[in-house]
Amino acid sequence: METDELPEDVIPMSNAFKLLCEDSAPKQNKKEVEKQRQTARKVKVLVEQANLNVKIEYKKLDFWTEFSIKHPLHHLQKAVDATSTNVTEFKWITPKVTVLDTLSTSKEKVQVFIEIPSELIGNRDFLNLVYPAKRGHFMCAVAKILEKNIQKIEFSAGGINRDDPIFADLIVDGVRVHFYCSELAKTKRFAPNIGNLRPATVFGDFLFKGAEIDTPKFNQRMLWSVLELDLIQELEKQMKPLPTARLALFLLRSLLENRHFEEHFSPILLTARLVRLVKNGEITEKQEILTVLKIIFKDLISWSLDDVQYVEEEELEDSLEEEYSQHFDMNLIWRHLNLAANVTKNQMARMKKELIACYPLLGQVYTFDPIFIDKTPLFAHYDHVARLYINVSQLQPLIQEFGCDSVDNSDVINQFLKSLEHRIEKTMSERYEFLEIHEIRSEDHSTWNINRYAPNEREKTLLIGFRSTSGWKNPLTVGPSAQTEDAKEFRELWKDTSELRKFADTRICECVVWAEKPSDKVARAVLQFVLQKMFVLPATCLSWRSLTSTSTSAEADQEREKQSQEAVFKAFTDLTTVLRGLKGIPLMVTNVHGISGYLRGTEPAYPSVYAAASSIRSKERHVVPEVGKIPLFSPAVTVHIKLEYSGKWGNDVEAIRRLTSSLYVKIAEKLRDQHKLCAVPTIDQLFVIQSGIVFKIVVVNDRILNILEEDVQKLKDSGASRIESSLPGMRLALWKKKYIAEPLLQMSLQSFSISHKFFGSTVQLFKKWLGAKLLSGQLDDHIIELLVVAAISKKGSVEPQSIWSSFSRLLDLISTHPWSARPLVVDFGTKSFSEEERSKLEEKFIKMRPILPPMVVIHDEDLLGTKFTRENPQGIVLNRLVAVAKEALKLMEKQTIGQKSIDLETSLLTENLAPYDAIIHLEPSAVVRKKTALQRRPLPENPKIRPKIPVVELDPVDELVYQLNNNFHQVAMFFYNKYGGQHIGVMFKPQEEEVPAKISRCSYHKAVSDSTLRLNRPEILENILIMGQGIVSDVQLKKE
Amino acid sequence: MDCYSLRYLRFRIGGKYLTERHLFLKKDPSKENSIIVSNIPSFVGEDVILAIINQFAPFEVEESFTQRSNASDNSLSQGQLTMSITFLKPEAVIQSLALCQDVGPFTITDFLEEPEFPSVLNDCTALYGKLFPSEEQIQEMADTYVERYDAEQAEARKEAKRKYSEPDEDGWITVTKAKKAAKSMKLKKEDVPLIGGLSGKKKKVDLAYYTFQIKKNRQEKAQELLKKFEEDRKRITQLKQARNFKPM
Repeated sequence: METDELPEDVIPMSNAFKLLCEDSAPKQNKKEVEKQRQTARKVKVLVEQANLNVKIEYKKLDFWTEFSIKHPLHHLQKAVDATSTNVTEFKWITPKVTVLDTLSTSKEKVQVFIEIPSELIGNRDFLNLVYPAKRGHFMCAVAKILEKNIQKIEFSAGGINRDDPIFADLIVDGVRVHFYCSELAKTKRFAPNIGNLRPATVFGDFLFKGAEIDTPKFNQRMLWSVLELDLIQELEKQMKPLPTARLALFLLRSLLENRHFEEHFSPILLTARLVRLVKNGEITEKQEILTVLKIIFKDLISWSLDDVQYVEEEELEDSLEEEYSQHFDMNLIWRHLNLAANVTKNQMARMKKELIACYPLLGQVYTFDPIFIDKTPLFAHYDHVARLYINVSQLQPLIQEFGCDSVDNSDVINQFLKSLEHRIEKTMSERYEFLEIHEIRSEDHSTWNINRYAPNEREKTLLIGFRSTSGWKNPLTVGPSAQTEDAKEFRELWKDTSELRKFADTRICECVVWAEKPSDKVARAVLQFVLQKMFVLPATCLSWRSLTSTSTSAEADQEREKQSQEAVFKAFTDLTTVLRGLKGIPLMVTNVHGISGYLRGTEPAYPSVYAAASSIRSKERHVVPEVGKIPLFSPAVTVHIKLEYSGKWGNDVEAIRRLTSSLYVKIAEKLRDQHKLCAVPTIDQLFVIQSGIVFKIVVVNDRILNILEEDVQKLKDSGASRIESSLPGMRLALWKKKYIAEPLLQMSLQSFSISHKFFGSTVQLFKKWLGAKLLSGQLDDHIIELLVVAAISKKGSVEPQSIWSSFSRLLDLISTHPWSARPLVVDFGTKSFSEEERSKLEEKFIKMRPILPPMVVIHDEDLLGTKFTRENPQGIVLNRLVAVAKEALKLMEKQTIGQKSIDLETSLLTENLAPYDAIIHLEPSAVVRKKTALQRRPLPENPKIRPKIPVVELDPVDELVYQLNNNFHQVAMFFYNKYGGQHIGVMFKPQEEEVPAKISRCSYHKAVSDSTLRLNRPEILENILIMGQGIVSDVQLKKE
Repeated sequence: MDCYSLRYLRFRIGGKYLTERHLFLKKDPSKENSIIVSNIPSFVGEDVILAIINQFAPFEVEESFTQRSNASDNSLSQGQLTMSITFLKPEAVIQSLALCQDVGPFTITDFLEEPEFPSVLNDCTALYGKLFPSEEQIQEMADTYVERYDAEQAEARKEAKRKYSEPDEDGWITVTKAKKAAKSMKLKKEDVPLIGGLSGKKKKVDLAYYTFQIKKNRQEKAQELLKKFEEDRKRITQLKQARNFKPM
């Protein structure tokens, strides 16, 4: 990524942004720091004055056991036994102790560095595990000295990333004590092309007899112990006079932590990167925080993968530089120490992607939180995730490969993972943008008590996350042209499973064929192939974790939904052409707008988008429901049309309505005559069947808007106040909402769905999930889609590419957004609100908060944010929504890291009837939106069969719920699942349980005394049974 | 007995529905000889209630009507209803309130010949059928309305015309102010005279000449900055509060 691609319209630094940055800086707890300082001084004094009478052979690792201290290399006794040195005796020599304030390079504010005296070190101790063993002895000795005077001493993994148990540190009452030896060897000795660790000493002679191999990783680990004090001192010295840079560093660190980068981008690395900029003169003392942040972001975004870069102005020889770039993905060198040795290409790619998303938002007040504060769960960052379980015993056959440069089992597994990453890149790089392997730890291995053995992990559980590209499902892996050298290599790589294929452009290429059609299964098969065939691992070690099961029926379902959406869209386009070309009607059709979720696949096609066929023989062109028989649901897709201008409409809304209805009759006639379509007019709409799908055509007449506006104006002129609550005011608002705001919003949603292919399926899943939680109808359909848009296009994060990531971000958004304190602002990404507009919107929100509904969603068509949330959801329902979203997130987390894969979709969509006071059981025949065994198909084009408009948009359960709320809104709430739910949950309002005897509150109550009435639940349930005849089969009151 | 207190009357629906329910009765303080009856299921008719009351308080009823429903759409065919009954004689009120708690429970179906209650399903299917009048009907409805509308419009126009031309009963003719055809003069930029031009106010030249002006300006600027800073701070506190907010 080049930095010149970054937008340059810079937002000037504002006070507000500066305040925000300074405000989020870590609060220095002076007491705590002082306490740590005292501890550090105490350690210094105790160690310097100690007189320990110890003289042992350095190979005797179990010496410390008698003092209840376990040497950190205890489990590597064999490897230590295989070493040799000219100074074999270990004894206590008073070391040099340095106490250092570390403001930038670490979260710990005070640290202690103890130098291992050079007298203890032999002249070739940099070889094998001599130095680590001696360092361990020295640590044990210090631990023994401190034990009596210090409350708590622990070992902690050391190294630049604090993840290396071989080079452990001590944690003494919260203060980290490092052990280093700057005179171990010259730094050149640890260049990557030199072998300092013979694999034979670690794993025995039988495999590695005489093998001398480069050990770049081990060298870096050793070198860290040589240079750590020097490096940290230098970095701190540079950073000390630059408080702004320190603040920027802190912000950057929290950004990276929130996005789960902390494992590899150590504070040291980030500080060094910043110091490099300071030394280059790019960052100076007087710069504002925004400038500094921008410089750092730009620097990281443009960090080239190919160059070897240096902290200071030093250069290595070209050949050595070459070695570095061969062995490490990223290189930031300081005296032969590569600070970025642990960073992989993929991590770098992901980080750059995140920073690029954040960069243009720097300086804005309202995007500060999404950039620096908000934390998203790890699994929500990836589009596809898999769980990998590796036991070191599985790698035994490959130990020759992964044993090199490894000290213990954990290293072997890490080497394997690195190799796996490379292999995945070789085999499926066209399918993903980046991937990352995260370790899932059940417990913290980074610190352990001094009387315990150091962790020796034989197994690891990992999470592999992919960010997919459009090629993810590609059924072919296309190789090079046939008969070339590359082709041979390709065949070898794929173990001769590849075949030759001829393409449309006459190329003949090597190809591996995975499936007939694009499918999610392809990527799974490739990765399984890599693990099984290339690494000889069992198939069970990898399990994909997804939202929907990949069973054939689930895939067929998805396919069906997709086809339905395409069918609706195609029928709509055809209808548009028909309407526009319609001749002989008084006014021509000028505009046609489709207003329906079916057009973009956001409405589950339950049971089908096609019109139900009718067997009734009658002359009528439409079907009406028969008594006692409820037909399955048929949707009608709403289409708004506009007609050419005419001045003859008159000034009366009712007259226009009547004229329009006679126009419907005319259009219907023409549609029947000219296009042989089935068309039935009613007073307010016209129903047409096109390609088997019912459309509801509504004429939108702007003349009505003018009349309504005039009415309101008259009212205003007459001096009336509170126009909003007057009849004309309300009519105008309603008309505007229905015929202006909604269509415009639908248009934005439609175009969003085109640019985000998985949008429709995410909305569908969301709707089904809401249904399963019996929350159907509690959120307006527009709000449902807007929430998904908000989750997908959230500022400051990389847009998701699959249902998995978008749904998990949606749940995250619902459960973390502070609904009562902030509005949710939805940007469609095309044009977004400016900082000033945002600030006005938020100000207005705060002023009006007391009278605003619990959920406020602001978008272009609704700047107050209440158009679709005025009635619903109520506060209590919103709270429940938040709670169930949290639960669902936990379920997703369990799915990602749990031992067994679950059928997540089924678990998410399981109904739980336990919380409700009473349950209404529905007649199965009354549930008309459900999946059916037989798929409805469009009728074949046959002039003999005349299709009829079926019963459309009639869902008795919807009607029942409406009437239930209408009747019992004072005493109870009702919860149902629109999509095939068989039950309605009833909650009685607790405040209605007992009320004072008043005529105004007596409904549905029974007198228990002269002064109190009690809720008469059986009466309510009986009423439900009476009004629900034919829909309700039974009502069941739960025991109190 | 305090006749303003809330009294109840036990009843049940009958048939399958045998839950005991209470009607609530109370003297209407705002109307003579009247009682209010509440918690009447909407599917039970007014006549039935009157018949029940007649069972233990056989007095002549002057007037009865349904006051309101507790349904959120205020439809009188949904929810629980409240009814007002006015008797001819004042003792009817006293007797009905005195006795109501001791009688019953009455069964609604006993008062009906064919007990059948409305249901959501029947309502909505019936309503659906009504949505589809025949094309001729639609056309006819449109034609009649438009005809009537045209007639009304013509009448209104005539009426208006008459008002302006002929004197009414009192001999007045409505006159309106004739519109003035005054057009605003448009000037091009270069036509605007430089000094003392058409724009009324003189532009204030911001030239700090005296020391006190310089001082004042500086102070004003500082004030402004301070104000803006305060605003920013407020905004940020709000943001921070929202951040710490835990929805659950």
